[in-house]
Amino acid sequence: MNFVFPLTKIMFGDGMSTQIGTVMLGLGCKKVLCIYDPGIKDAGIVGPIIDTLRLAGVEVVEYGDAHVSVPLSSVYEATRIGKAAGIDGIVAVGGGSAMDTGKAVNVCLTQPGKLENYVGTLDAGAIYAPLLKPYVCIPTTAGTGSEVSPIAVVYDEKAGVKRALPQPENVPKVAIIDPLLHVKMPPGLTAATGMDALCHAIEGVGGFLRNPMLTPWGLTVCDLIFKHLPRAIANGQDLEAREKMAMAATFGIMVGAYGGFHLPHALGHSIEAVTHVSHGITCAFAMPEVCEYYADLIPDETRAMAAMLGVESNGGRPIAEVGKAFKNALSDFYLRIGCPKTEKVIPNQGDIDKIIELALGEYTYITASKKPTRRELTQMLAAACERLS
Amino acid sequence: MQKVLRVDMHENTAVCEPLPEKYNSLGNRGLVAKALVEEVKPTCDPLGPENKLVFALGLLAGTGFPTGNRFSVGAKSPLTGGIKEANSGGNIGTLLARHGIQMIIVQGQPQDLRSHILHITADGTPKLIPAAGYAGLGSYALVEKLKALYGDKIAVACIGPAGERRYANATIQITDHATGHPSRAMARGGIGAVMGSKGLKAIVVELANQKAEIDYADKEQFSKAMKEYLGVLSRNAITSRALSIFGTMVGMAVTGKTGALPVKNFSGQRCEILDDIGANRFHQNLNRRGGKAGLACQPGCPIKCSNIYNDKEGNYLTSGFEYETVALVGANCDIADLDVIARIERICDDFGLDTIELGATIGVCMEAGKLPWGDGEKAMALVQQIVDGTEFGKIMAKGCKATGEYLGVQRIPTVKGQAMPGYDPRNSKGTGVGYATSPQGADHTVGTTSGAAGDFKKVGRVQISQKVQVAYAAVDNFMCHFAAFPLTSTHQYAVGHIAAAMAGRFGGEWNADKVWGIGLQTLMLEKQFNRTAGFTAKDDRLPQFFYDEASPMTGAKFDITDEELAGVLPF
Repeated sequence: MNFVFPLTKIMFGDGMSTQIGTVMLGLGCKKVLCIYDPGIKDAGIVGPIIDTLRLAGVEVVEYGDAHVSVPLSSVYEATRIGKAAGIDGIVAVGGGSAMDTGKAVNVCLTQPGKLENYVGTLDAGAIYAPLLKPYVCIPTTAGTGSEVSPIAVVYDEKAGVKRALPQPENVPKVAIIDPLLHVKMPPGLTAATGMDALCHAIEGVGGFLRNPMLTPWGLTVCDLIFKHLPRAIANGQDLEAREKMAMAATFGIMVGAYGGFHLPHALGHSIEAVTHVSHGITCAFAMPEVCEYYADLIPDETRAMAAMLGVESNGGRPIAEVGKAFKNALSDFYLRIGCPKTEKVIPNQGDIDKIIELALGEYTYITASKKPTRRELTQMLAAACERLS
Repeated sequence: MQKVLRVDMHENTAVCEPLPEKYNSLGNRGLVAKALVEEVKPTCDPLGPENKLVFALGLLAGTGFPTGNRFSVGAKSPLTGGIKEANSGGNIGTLLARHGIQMIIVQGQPQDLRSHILHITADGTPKLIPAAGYAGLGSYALVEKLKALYGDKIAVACIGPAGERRYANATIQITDHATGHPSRAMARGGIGAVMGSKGLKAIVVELANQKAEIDYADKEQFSKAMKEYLGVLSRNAITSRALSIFGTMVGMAVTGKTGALPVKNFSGQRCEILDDIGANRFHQNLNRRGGKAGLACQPGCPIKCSNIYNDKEGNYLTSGFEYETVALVGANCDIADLDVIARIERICDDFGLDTIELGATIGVCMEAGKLPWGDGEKAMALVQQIVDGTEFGKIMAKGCKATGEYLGVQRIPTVKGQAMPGYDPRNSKGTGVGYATSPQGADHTVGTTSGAAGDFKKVGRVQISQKVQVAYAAVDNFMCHFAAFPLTSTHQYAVGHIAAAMAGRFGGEWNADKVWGIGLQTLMLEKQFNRTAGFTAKDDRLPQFFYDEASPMTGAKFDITDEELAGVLPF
């Protein structure tokens, strides 16, 4: 067993974001670039954080135009602002878009050559030196986990493709997770980001790099999500539910990123590319079918996860049966929390072949520990469409 | 009891003799070197009757040790004029080991100039059969015909038309275990031309009726060591995961971004077409077209780094499609189309050409302006010229150096007449030291440092090259380099299992030093051969342009001095 597990300092708890000034000073920063998106500013989340930084004597340069999908033009603009101001640290406040922008900006600001040299999956050039700037993330959603992950995804508008920026050196220095910042998230976003976190955990438990330390984390994350995601959706002010979901997101990504994503992400990215539905939903869409398919690879974990959803999974019940029951239970969960049906996710069934073609080229398919044939994968997606129609 | 099969093409005889005791302490590359030093005059004509073609199995052949049935061949090289060894996986080593045939020495030339096939029957009888009906056949068609005659379970080592025409870039092709096609090559140094000069079109081995017994000094100790080593392989990230999932193409991820990957005839520039020819695209094409990764090229290999690459219609195009081919035919020629590279590879496997030498040859043609950089179709047309035997095709078939000199190119990336493989020696200086000082010439099997972090700097490169050259030479006596990753990339722990396996097989005291000592012995034999052949310190350096031109990507020049090179394994 061989792995690299780069770690972020995690500061967790209600109100923790008020520590941002101390954190940046502790990292030796005097002037920081604060990256966020307009929605976060409108929600009144960014203002107090910037105030706190300034009160601590840290100069703040703002880039408030982080975009969904992280287009390169936005990354380059933020880089230009940061470079012109001579910043010595970066703070991102927001969801995956703001946090991934920060990661890409950090590479642009510090590494030789073009950003292009560091993106890709298998062929990405590694960052050796020089050091990246201190980077701190304050997530405002509970899903992506980008605040502790080594991965960012950027969108190359010219080529029309998303590209991964997988750099172990690029894990944020500090993640400040303040569940109080999550209470304004609307139910739809809560559901979509929460399902993303669930995919991270479930996939990591069966991924090609799975290991016995990650598995219990992954199972705990599933349990937290099964219990608290419905509550957080039903009542955004449910602080316990928000707290547990925040915890599940942060720890879930580590299970996924270091255990290995597989088919749900391969299909999710591909559905997203064709129908432009949000990431968490597309990844979760065919996850029940994948879980049934993976049941014999990870029987113990499958039984444990199924039991969390009330499936009779122990004793002598054959694993194939448990897998099927788990699939149905996961599907019920997906619908119970109000995730969209087939007509909203893949409205045109004629797109299935196109989606599968894309999925077969996904890194997460290439590295899947159990790999279906084209025909099997097509059947899985068609079954999901049928199930959710 | 293991045997030497001696085949005299002049006398038209093929006779098995017991393996002499003195041949018990070396395998594969080392055994080839020993036999050549003992039996071949180093100053002889490589394509004349005095040269001999020596095939050899490894020290652990027939034991079931992982990749222990690797198959080597060697001779005086028509490309370098020095000693040459090339090796391959495939199924032939396993089948020969089952017969107990540890070596095949092919000598002399047929009096009537007729071509023959060496057929080893199921009961172990070697026969020379006239091969007139097979003359000019490509290796794929040849293997099909032979299978129709002798059954699907045979193993074949053969030459294509390139070897028959004695081209200095000719390979010997080996049938692949996973596909049965002759897609594995003992590629370098024009070894196929030597086989052609012997009038030997192919060696066909049938599955032995009875498995030859191996004499173990201590079978239990051997089995324990083998089990331990299998455990090591299953725990190592490269041998347990990276190579089976990604194959050798995973190398592109390292070299492509550090500048070790050769670009536009070793210009030292950054590769701008990695998205088109890198590992990711490679696997996308594999998966979308029903190809496969994770295949074993030789029976029982736990690493499984081979593949099947299909065309756009989903039909088989080639297998064993590897990093070196994509590096040289792709990046080095700026050809941004994996399908074109795969088609060229298929032609090479069929016609019997080394893709590394060929890629470097096309590179110098592009440098000379004979065709534009990146023009895959024109590159295909040049390859077709070799197949058609046109005047220029014949020059290309002599290799990169001959072609570059013919075209008046100044920048010719060869050492001792052999083209460099997929590592720019400025940005992988450890590899560069190996290119310069190895008796084999510029070769991917002499000791690459792959362009990892810091490899474009001078510090430590001479030391690491010495270490890696010895380790590679040692490993080349008993297993595939890829199964040896834990030996060269970790620590003494894994080597201990090799030593224990050797002790279990041969008896006596074994430790890590004795295992590495096999590498030293091998290099000493090879250097001895080359010295007598006329090689001097002047041959142990790189082409001048690597010293003069800085890599635009890293600013690195090859700055290892002649004195420093002279101090590399100075024996």
